[in-house]
Amino acid sequence: MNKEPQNGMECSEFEALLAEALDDAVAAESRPAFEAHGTSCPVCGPMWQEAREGMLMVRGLAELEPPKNLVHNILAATSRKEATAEQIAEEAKLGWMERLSRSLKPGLGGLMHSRFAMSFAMAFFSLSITLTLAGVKVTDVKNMVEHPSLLRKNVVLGFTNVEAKVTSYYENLRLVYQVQAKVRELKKNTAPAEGSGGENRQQNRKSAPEDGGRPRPNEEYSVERDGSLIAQTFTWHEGARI
Amino acid sequence: MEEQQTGALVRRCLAGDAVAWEEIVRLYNRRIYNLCYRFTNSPDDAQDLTQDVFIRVYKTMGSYNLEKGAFTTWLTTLTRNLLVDHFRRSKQDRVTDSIDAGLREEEDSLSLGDRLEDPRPNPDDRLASKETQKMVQMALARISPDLREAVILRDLQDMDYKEIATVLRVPEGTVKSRINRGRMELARLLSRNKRQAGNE
Repeated sequence: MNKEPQNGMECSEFEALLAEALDDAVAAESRPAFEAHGTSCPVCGPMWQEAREGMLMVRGLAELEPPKNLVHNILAATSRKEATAEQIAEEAKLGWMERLSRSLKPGLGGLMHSRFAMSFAMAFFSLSITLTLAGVKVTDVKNMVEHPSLLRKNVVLGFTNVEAKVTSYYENLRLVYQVQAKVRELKKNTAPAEGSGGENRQQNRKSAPEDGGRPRPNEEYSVERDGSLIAQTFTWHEGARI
Repeated sequence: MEEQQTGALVRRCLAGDAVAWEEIVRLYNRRIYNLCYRFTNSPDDAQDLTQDVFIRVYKTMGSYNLEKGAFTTWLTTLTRNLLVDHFRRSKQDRVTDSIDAGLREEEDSLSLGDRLEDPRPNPDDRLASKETQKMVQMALARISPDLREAVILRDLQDMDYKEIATVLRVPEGTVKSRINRGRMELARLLSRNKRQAGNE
């Protein structure tokens, strides 16, 4: 662009006045210089022409008619927003119980019926008893929820505890059986030495049918051996004798 | 005078008058729709954006200060901000269509009823005018957004340079420069398209 003034005006001045000139708002004292520069300058003349053409074309664009439902849609959208805002304000005034019941109503309205409520109470009661018996504490669950990494640890710990209890129970049971087996063995070893006792038993067996075949009650004997007292129980069925 | 009326409407609207709000929507929806359409060159986007603008106005009307400036300037600023957001969002998807493609779309979108109801007498003139309008609109859509918004606000929304400077948050000199460049670019694009159409 030419920086030399032509007809008393520089190209930058011409450009600054261009927009106002197109609006016909150039001051009267600047107008002759502006017009003279536009006529003589090879850069500013076409620029003026192009800007004028562009302006006329854009201004020739007709105003468009908005869609018929636009106003309705806007009003509907804003009234929905208003209704939502009012609902929020109203809910803020309610207590938490009412808010909870309202929030439950749309989806779980039917479930708030007394029958269902009782069923839920029973289910909750059963679950809580099961958990208590299983040794699960509410605080543990809370910790697990807060720290998910504890979940695996607690499960393993619980399993180990149960396993230890079961093992201990069976170990005790085995000890009892071992003691009983030992007692039977001792009794068997000492049986030939107690001949009178054996005869008595044989006599008892023989006299059994005389009672009319009725099973006789258990008989308990106390056998004193090596200063210790061993309690023995005999039944009519040898196989069931412990 | 108009601003005083709008001010009264805004006050009533802030006081919870639904009728005043409806009046504001009826008064300004055409202006906002046209602004959105001329900027986006899409009737669907223009409709959605106009709705968004009014929803935004409804929510933020409390922040409008009657003494600070005209309601129209405030509304246009808000619209322009949403248009800029929309432009940024759709930048990835945008494809520069040819002017011919746009013309075909326009022809397809006109129903037979619309064509018959058109009051203009001469079909050739009507077609020529429609084509010119469409070409100008397509050319407008092809110039840079900075220039486009300045030209639209000046030549279609009839805002003065000071108001445009407020809306665009640039000095008045920059506004004038953008308007000039935008108009020149439009003229060049249109003359190029006319030359191409003449060669075909």
